[in-house]
Amino acid sequence: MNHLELEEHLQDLFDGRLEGQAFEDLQQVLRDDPEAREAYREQLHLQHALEFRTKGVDLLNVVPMDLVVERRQRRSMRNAALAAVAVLAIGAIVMALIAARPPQPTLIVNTSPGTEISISHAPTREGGKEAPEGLVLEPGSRLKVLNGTVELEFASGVRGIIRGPADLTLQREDLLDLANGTVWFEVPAKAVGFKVNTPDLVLTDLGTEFGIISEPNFLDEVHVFDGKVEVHNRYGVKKTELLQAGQARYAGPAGRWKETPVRRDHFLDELPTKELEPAVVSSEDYTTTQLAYKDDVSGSDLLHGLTAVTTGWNLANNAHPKELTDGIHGAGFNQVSGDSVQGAWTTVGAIAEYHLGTGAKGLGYDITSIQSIADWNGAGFGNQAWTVEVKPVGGDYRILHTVNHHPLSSQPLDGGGATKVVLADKNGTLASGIESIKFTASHVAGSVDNAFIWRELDVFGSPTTSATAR
Amino acid sequence: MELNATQQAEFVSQIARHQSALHAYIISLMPGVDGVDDVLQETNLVLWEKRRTFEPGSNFRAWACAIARFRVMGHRRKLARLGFQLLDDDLAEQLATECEAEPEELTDRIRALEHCLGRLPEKERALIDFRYFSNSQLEEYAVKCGRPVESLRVSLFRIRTALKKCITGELTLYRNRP
Repeated sequence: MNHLELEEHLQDLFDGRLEGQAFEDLQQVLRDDPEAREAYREQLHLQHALEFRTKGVDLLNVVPMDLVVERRQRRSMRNAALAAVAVLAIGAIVMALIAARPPQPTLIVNTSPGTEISISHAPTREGGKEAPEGLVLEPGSRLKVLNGTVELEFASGVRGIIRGPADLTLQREDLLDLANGTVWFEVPAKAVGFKVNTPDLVLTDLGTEFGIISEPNFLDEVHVFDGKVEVHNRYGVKKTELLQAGQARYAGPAGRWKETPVRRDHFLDELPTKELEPAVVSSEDYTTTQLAYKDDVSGSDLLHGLTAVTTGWNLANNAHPKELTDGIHGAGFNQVSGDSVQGAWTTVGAIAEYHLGTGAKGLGYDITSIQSIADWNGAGFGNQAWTVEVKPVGGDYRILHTVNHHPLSSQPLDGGGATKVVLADKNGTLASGIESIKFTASHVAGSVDNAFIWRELDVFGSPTTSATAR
Repeated sequence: MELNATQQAEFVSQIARHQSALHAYIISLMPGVDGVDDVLQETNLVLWEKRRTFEPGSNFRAWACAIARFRVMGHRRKLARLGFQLLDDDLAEQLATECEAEPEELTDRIRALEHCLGRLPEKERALIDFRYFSNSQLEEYAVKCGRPVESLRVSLFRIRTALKKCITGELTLYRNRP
């Protein structure tokens, strides 16, 4: 076989057109002639390069988090496309409208002072009935809570408290679609089988008291306080799990359920009688430049030098929560011998609790601002999501604020970046008379295991001087 | 035991880094046979499923290729049962040396190919794009451009031969870079 014939046979082979005796002839040449084998490899490399550049490779199937990111994006678009506003209600409950309406509506809505909501109804209602008036929902009605708190009273006896922002649609008397929001439910025995759909899960109540958290860009959570619920993951392997009282799970990206601490204090079970405290002012920055905030860390804040009580942190590669408050941002991965990860590596639910003490006057501390910096060279670890709670002197912990800042989540795993969040209060003091402060890492979207690398946590303030401060 | 977050990220990065080598390796074991992408995808899934058994620090490429080889052999057995003419097992093994190549070498080849494609006249580039981008038969393209199929095959032969020569020249340049 001469060189030209060899070339023709090889090209025909890779085109899938070589058959019969010509095929056998080529095999024999390839067995016998090293130069023919070299020509085979040249042809192979060309074929590979032409196909590989054309088709690329879909790695999504081995990076489940990317599927989650894609899904989140779809969800955001869907939410943006939905229509809104029919009723705007601020303030007290208008029960008179409801009382005049026979028969009893499927769902009555009550609001706390300062709450803003909108209610819209399905354009064509069954049987041509007029759209209901007032703060009521019928199947097909949609409720958006812009801010504040709303109570749901179902005719079936189910009761729910929604913390805004939230967006839900009543599908049936026993079926609620929750697009987003934090909702607590109490379901009486006669209403067993009540269902809640969220973008990540389908929950079926089995006679219980439970809470659901569904936030854009987050994995939905279920917390069971009493009785049992069945939860079904909508994605991946679509795992179904029966949860008992005292259990909480979030919907893992591959369709499995992941444990998370039960957080009763995330939910309200009564409608507040007065307007809740003004929201904390949160300024959130990000950059795709790693180490961009390295000069912003503080070595003189209230936490500097304190030893935290910690649970749940990932200590691999020398990561440690003590690096949260050491006043040192830290270098990139493997830049410092013996300290590959110069930061705190979170897991979902990891806690760092600091005891500030009672201060010079024995009244605790005024917290004026909190700064948090996350940063990493990839894997989505530069995002941050956490909750801060404060404990007044002699009192109990209460949630001060929850941060969900994950602008880097749509980056590829090898895309680095940093985020910085600063919490402040428009009146100057976030919390007063505080003796302990506790931070709990939550889950960020788009990172491996929903973790992040927390570089620094600074709490600024001074001893409380007056017991009359808020 | 499940890998920790860093190990998982590193594992995914290894899979991504070796996609090109695995693709080349699979083609080398089944030249001219449909299903290369399917086998690659199956290989990726098996790699992910077996991630806990991979020993960090050992040769990922060799391990991944061994898994790919099993998937290819399974595919070849199916095709053989259907009567497809395939390279003998021994010869296929002898020819399949792509796992020895560094991923960067294959990346260089693709870069060189891009450069060489850029030098092709428009009509020749269009023919290559049709052949490798579309799932259609060459006969369709023949109708579209008003040329006999055999004429297109001759053109493809000539273009591919020219591309190989061009790529070899480009790689020589790359190897001599500082």
